Amino acid sequence: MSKLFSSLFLISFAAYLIFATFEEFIPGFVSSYINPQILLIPVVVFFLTLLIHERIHKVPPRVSAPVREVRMWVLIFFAALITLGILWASASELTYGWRALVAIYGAVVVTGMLSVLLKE
Amino acid sequence: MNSQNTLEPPLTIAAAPRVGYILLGITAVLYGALLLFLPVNAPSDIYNSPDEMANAFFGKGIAEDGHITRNAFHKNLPSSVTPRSILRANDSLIPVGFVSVPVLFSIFIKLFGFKGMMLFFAAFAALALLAWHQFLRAVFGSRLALLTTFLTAIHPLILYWNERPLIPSAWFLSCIFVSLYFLGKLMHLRSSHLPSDIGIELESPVARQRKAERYIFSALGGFLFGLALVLRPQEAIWLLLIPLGLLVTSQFRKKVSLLPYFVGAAIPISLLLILQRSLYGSVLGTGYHLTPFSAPFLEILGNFIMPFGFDPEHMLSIVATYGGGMVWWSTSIALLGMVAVAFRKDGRLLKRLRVWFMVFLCAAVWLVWWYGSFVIHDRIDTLASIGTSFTRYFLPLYAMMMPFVAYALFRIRARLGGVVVAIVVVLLAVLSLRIAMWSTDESLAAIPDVLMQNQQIQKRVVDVTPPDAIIFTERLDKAIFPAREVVTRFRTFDQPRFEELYGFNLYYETIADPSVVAWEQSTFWGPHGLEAVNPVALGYRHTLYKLEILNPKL
Repeated sequence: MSKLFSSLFLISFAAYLIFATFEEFIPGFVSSYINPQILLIPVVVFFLTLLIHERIHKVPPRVSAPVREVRMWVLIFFAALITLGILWASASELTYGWRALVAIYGAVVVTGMLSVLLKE
Repeated sequence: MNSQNTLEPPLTIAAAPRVGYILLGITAVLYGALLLFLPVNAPSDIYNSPDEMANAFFGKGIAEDGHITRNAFHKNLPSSVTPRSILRANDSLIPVGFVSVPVLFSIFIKLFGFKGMMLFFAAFAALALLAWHQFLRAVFGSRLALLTTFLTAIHPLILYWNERPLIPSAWFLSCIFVSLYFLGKLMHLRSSHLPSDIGIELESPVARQRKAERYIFSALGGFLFGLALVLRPQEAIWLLLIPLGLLVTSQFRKKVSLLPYFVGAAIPISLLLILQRSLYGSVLGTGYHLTPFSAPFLEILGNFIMPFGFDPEHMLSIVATYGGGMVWWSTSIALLGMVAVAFRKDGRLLKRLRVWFMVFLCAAVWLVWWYGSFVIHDRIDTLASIGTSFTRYFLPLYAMMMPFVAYALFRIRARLGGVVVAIVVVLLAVLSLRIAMWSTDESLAAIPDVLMQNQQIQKRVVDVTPPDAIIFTERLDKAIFPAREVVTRFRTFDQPRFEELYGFNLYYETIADPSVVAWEQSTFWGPHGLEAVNPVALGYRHTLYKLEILNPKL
């Protein structure tokens, strides 16, 4: 039951983020057909159900701490790189210096956030 | 039960990783650098809004000769000849709004010069970010504080208004951050063991009780709070919760020295009251209304509590637009965080987040109540945008939402794993920087171009009009004034107001097509005894017409 709701929450949340992102880049992508805020309803419903039904379950760590640490930094590196790439590619309206600053700033902030979030 | 055994992967960490602090330092430096985008790229002496123009005009003037009221460039003109954000009375120009803002600007201009003031604001905003982190650390522990600070650094609206310091909203927020920092220093948590909160644990800082530090931090906290208040006295009603909390809560009373705190706060506030008395004749007088406080008490109270009336439908649309739609990626995750906080087990962190939520809720209800019925005409198309005033009115709410976004991200990380949270974080960063920097017509990248266009239009207006010209304009006053006298509220003028201006050299600036101006001629200018003739192109769709009197005998 809990896995079902976890999956539904994940799917609906991902769908919302994807559609909302498309809406940002292509205005009217969703809103021409439906109010995009409606997409939030399943997210909230599944999240609430998830919180009510799912208990914290014990799963022993499968890999050693150093391996997890390496995996974490690889993930952070790629996230920062992707942020840097997206910002650099899409900030074409800025001059090179400012474009680089914005891209680096975004990558540094993403690295900072993930270093806090993923650190065990 | 050890929480490391209850979660996979475990979240429990008593202290944030050291690399997080290094990255926070780098972020603060880059943040300060990014805040120089507009000061570096925008042309000087031209401004993006009438408020910025007025603050710069008075700030520079006061720095030059110490006089708050400025002599009008042309004498004996009617009081209607004035740009937005400035009043004309007895051949003097007076700031609309609170006089403290241009006076403070003038001090910084005197100290650093105008460009230097912009550098100072950028540095102050970056330091305020670090101060915000220190306060959050004392309240929520190091990990939530670090994450919240990163989220604040990337928040598009906070970043945006920090780029425009001539509007004091972000500066106000920075003062609050620094004031809270000093309170946070005083409110160090006790060093006893703190229980874990489903994997997120508070750090246990060491209590510090040195007397001198207590006095100094209390006084500085009070001073910065007072400074924030004089920058935006409108926020006094809900902000007074802070000193009230100091008075009511015994824990606060023990840790904060109340006398230095209130003396510190009283210094800037009393200076504002003295300035208002000298300028408007009453300590409570402001440029918003020059009339004395002679109205019935209930009327004054009504204006105080509901200055813009009460329109529930408009309030809801404001909440939906500026709370949800404008930065949906941040707000939706904050809502998830709030729900998570409400449904989790009890614990010290969650209790504090719930108290934080109550404070947030009080502030939100008040700000929506206060501003929600305000009909703003910032844009000609009346569309909501990042530069609309509501986004700066609600800046404190956006900042107060950040701990919930941080908490939600921790929950997403615990529930859905590192990859999902990494995707969400990347999206947050990209969407935030995108809207702040370049994606809309009011994003920062668009502003220098608009200002350069306005500068060229201003130059053209000066070239084609005599020095005594009075130009009717609805929106270009921010560019034309002070090079030429302007009239802005003419759409609401009655006939006598127009007749006051008949003897002057009148012009009309517009972006309307000739067909629209021809229609206006029959419906607006003609009935008021004027005729728009001899159009001159100013560039960028703007046209200047000479306004002739239809019946010169009048």
